[in-house]
Amino acid sequence: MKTINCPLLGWRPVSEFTAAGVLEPEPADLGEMSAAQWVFERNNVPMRRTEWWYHGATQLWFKVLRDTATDTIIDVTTARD
Amino acid sequence: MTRRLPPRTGEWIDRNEKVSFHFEGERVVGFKGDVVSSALLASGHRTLARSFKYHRPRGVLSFANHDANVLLEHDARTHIRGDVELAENGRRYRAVNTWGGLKFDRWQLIRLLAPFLPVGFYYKAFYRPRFLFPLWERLIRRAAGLGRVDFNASTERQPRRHDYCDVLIIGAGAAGLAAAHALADSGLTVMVSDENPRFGGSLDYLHSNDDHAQAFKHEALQAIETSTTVKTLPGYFAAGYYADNSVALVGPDGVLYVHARTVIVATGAYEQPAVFRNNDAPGVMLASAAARLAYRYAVAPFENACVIAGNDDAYTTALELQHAGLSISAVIDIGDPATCASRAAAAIAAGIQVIPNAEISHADTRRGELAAIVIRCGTERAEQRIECDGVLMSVGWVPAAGLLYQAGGKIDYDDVLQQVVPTTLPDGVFAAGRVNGFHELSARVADGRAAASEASTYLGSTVARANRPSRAQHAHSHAYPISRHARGNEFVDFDEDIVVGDLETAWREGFDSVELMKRYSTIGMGPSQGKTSNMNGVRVLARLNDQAVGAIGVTTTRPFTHPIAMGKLAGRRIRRQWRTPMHTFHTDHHADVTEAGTWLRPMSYAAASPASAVHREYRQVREAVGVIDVSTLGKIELFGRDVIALLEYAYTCSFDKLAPHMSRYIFMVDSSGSLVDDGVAARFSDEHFYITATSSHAQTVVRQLQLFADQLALEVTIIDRTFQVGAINLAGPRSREVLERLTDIDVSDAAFPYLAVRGATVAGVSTRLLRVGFVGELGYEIHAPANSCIALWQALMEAGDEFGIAPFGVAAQRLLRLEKGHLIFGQDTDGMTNPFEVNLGWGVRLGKERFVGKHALEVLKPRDARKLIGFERVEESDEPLRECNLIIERGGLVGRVTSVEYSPHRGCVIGLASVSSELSTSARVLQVLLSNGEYAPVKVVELPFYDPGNTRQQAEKPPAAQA
Amino acid sequence: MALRLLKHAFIEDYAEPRWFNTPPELKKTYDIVIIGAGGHGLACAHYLARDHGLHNIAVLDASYIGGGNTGRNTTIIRSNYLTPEGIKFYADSMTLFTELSDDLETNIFYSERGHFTLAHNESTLRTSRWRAEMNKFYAVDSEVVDPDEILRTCPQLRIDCGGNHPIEGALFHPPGAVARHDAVAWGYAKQASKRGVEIHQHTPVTDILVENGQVTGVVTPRGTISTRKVMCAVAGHTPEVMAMAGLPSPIEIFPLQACVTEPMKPWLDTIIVSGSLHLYVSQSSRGELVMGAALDPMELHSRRSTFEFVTGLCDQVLDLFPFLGGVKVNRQWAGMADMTPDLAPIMGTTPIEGFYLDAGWGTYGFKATPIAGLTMANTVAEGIDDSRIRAFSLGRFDDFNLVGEKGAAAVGH
Repeated sequence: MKTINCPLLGWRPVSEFTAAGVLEPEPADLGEMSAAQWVFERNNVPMRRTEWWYHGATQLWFKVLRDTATDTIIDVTTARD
Repeated sequence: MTRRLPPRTGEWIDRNEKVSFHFEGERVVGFKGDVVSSALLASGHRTLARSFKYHRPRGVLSFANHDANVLLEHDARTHIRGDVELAENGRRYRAVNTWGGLKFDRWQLIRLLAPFLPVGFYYKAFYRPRFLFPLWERLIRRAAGLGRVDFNASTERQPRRHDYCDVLIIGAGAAGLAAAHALADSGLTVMVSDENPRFGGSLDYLHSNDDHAQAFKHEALQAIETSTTVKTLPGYFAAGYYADNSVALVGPDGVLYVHARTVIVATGAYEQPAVFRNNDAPGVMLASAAARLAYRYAVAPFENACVIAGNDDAYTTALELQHAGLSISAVIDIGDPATCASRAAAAIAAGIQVIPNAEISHADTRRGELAAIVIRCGTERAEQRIECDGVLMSVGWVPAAGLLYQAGGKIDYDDVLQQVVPTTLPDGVFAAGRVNGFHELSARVADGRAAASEASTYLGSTVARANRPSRAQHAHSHAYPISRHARGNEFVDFDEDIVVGDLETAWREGFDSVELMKRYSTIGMGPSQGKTSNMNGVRVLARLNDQAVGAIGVTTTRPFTHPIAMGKLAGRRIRRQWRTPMHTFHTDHHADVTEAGTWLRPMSYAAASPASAVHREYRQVREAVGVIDVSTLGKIELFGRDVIALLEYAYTCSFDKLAPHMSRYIFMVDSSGSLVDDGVAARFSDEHFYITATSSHAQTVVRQLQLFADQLALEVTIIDRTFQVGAINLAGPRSREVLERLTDIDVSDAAFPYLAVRGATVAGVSTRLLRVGFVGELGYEIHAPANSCIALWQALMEAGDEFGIAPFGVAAQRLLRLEKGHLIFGQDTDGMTNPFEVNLGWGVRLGKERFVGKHALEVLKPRDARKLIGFERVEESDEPLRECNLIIERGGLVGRVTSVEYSPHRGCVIGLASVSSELSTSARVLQVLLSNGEYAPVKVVELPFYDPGNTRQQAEKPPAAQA
Repeated sequence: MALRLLKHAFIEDYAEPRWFNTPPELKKTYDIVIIGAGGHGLACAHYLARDHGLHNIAVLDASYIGGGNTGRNTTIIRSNYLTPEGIKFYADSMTLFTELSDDLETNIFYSERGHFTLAHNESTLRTSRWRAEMNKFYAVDSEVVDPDEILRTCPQLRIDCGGNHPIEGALFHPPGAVARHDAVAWGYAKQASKRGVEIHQHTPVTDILVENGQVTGVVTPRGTISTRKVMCAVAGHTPEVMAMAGLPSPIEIFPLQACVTEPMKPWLDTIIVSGSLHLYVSQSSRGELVMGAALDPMELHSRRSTFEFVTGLCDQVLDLFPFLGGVKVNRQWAGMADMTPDLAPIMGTTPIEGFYLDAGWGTYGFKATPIAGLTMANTVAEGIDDSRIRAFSLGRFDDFNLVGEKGAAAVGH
């Protein structure tokens, strides 16, 4: 079972968390990008990336730096850090 | 006949207590502590089961939980492993998968067909002509499988537990005990598990006459026992290694899921069989199996045995067995003749005949059981037949490295040791002992200490530093313990009945890599998962490919180490169920309470919710007043400077015109513009909102709002009130009169208009009142602290008594809302519906600067491909019109019915449907394809079906009933 | 008994010819390079060779034949989809499947067992009816049945489901089938090989060469190959291969896990799926229960197993079949699934001339193997999308013309 170092509570089981993936807030202006590109395009090759994870126990969102090739979690910070 | 040896200290049986059971109808008596197989062998049985495919007689092979051939069943359970499961008093055991019993298993005739059933035969036959295949398949399915499942068996669930430690040591043999001993006083928390009920591993049966070994064992066990930081788990095997050093241990009490900071894998090695003709005959077994039988269960599995020696261990084991009182007539050495004399010296001195430079030809059988071994030896390579009822194979080892593979370790073939060894392991994972390539006892002990030292260093603690020993310079495994025979039957895989020729056939047909060969021949896919077959398979393949063994690679070892009962895996049955504050009222009033997601909700107040009950509740609301428990709604409180900014971003509508103490209907879409959830937003002040969400999405919406607030760094506090606050909808033309009696605030239409919200004391309870209109009548949603709700509900019932107030359920509510043309998300919308398709365009403010889904909705708005319409059924018919019936126009699919009810108000069947926009014009007649294939005409009508002027929900005085 | 088996019996050391070639060297040039020697890639190669007379084809695989999702799925075949495009496509696939053993001269053990998608609540039952009505309209055998009818076929099923969310009915799809997944890949490999297609295992593609918007070759550790046409059928690795061609991708990769029990005497003759419980189970002709669950909850490019999967699955299975408490799970494994925004595949031509995609197969790629191979072969040969796959084009996302399969996305495999 994976464990995640919650910035508030310390090591907690992954089952307390919900991974939401890379979520950028919808911008007011898409610039060069089309609506379709904004909605559908992903960069999903294996990589290290920052994802949003929700933690049920603290009811907080965390930013999680994770390697999507190995599932290694490199860093966890609170949402507004 | 008894084959029991004289008592010795350390044996696992208790001779003071007998165990009696039946096997294949015959009575068998053993001792307490006997496993089924040991009791059977002690009473003279040799054939214990039949093989899977050819139904050949089979007996003991490993006596280490991979005797997958000896699967037994009794009336309550199947797939009982005879070599590890204790014999139970009074049981009637039998072998699985026989036809007419073990002795005269009629399935064995299938052996006559063996020449026609080469590896992969089923890919080559039975498919022409095609119509015959089902017939063949029935036959194949009849022959398939092993045990029979008892459909009446009771559910056996054992709780799963979690535990934590600094160091988990898996395996309590020499290396594991050495590691545990070294860590006993370190202050680190240590757990030691072993699949056997007693610790000691091979110290008990391969070194029991070695005083040093025994002294080491006693000292280690004592240290572990007296330590307060070491926890012992005898009888627990490690089933699999999972992320972050989590190891699933499985024992008699179920699953213990251990989360360790470091893991020391000291799981030992699986002894490997030699491959020769009839090597599966009962009587042929691994040398270590005989030793386990002799020392643990005091069973002599034979009268007189030969040992096939491919390594030094063969000689030490032979001596060990002789010491236990077993008769070893010869050691047949198939190893390097040049070094034979040195390894054989002690055995020769002990009077055991050693035959150097030998090859195995085959085993001879009598009535299916071992009778003799035939070898070739000497310079003439003459055949020599040696009568014996036991052949003990000691030709090599494969590290039990499954956990190390699963942990991401790298394991490579070592050409000196002729076996695989771990080369790199992930941080925090250590290997020790035989699994790490050490075979000599002293090296295993030293390796265990070194692993302990490394683990403690890794944890920032220190125990006496110990270095890894150096690996032996000679092999403990024979490089090719495989003798092909012209007449075949040299079994490589006992589970699946695979012989060398099968692998050759697979190879010739192109399945020449380890993975393809595995899949085509099914080698390693049986219940023992290749523990005794994969390595020999790889050796055969390497020779066929003319490659080095190391170049072949190995197949992935996946969990589990040994199969695990589903009842152990499942754990306790835990299901969430949420009840509203009014739950007991509902059950007391015979409501048809059903599960709606996690919630329990009353459909109506009559069992099974007949239409008559639903219509009665409907009329109650239309004509007088009713109450419905809507506590399942999501209820979210929002405070803060940026609350408007958050709502503007999360929802499609605009909030700038929403005055304090007013509410409005809101909905959100996702970034692709699809509808997600709807609710009501009530504004209490500039910086304070209270919103609702649908029952099933409440938690998602809270989470989503929190995310948006975090992403945009908005200053908003979001509190989920769903479980703190209950809600009651009081609806109907008399609802104001009921409410008036219970509150001191002015509830007149002027003072408390439609869509207004108020804080008020109702029946002494502090509440929030929302004037809503979901069901299309004058109505109030009363939100109150959950612990006051039942009192409030009772007060409403009493105050409404003179108007004939009654509770109504979800079914009536659905009918009421349908007449009003209100949609239900998830029913009238699907996962890809956008607001414009369901007449919600009015709630989308594309002019807003920024909100979720804006860019998608800008693209989707002009699409106008489908539209939600209201319809009336034109003709009466007995054939029901159902939700999800399709709408067909000129043979083409143009829409789908999403909601249907009989409308008491319209006096006909009404519904909502999603149809192509060009067909949505009023009065148009559409054809609905009913489930029976007939068509039913329906007429498009304007929405809503009821009270288009919205006069009823806004009225000052109760209007005349319209229903 | 087949003549082929008689030969085995009476001719010493008889073995059939190799099922597939393993040419020692890569050629410098092929007319077509197919990336991925799974069922889809090999089927495409077979139909290109058989129907279009194209033989100068290389199928390259980073690993071995059928080693990806072809060999990891739970082999369920059905056509009771929700959208017209989906239903017709999978119905064609089932037609091809029924003839496949004969076509490939390989018994793929195509076995019609009937397929129940259980409904534990009103809304699933409603969605089931939606699917049934759509299926019937497009002549696919499918209907909503009540619990009694389920019990007639599967009397061992516990309708009360352990006490929560009892079974209220099911979508029944009588032609629902299982097949031997490896045999499908091997059979296609055999037929393609016979017609001269080269299969190069352990030959990963590390880059795709594109000049002026046209594919010109692929790079492998064994050398660069020049080619004008590349077909990509690498479920689980699609975003990486698309990136090689310079294409962005709407695909996300999620692990999908499965497990099998020890073999027992066959008793479960149908395929049981429950979207609410997130499980599907059938019993193979070896006697093993083959079981799977929903996708793992986070994106991951790895085939690691989790204990949570197998414990969660067993917990739910015992609600349906409580007597299985003593039956043992033998082995678990995982695959990687290409998930698209609308849960429909992505097939056909792309903005890169000569680069063709057969991707986005989610959890339902195996059941499309023959039709995907056939339509992709037509597409690659002609250079224009086969009419049957136009709805599945990559370009649909540009126009928000999504396929509505996600509309009622209950789990259903």
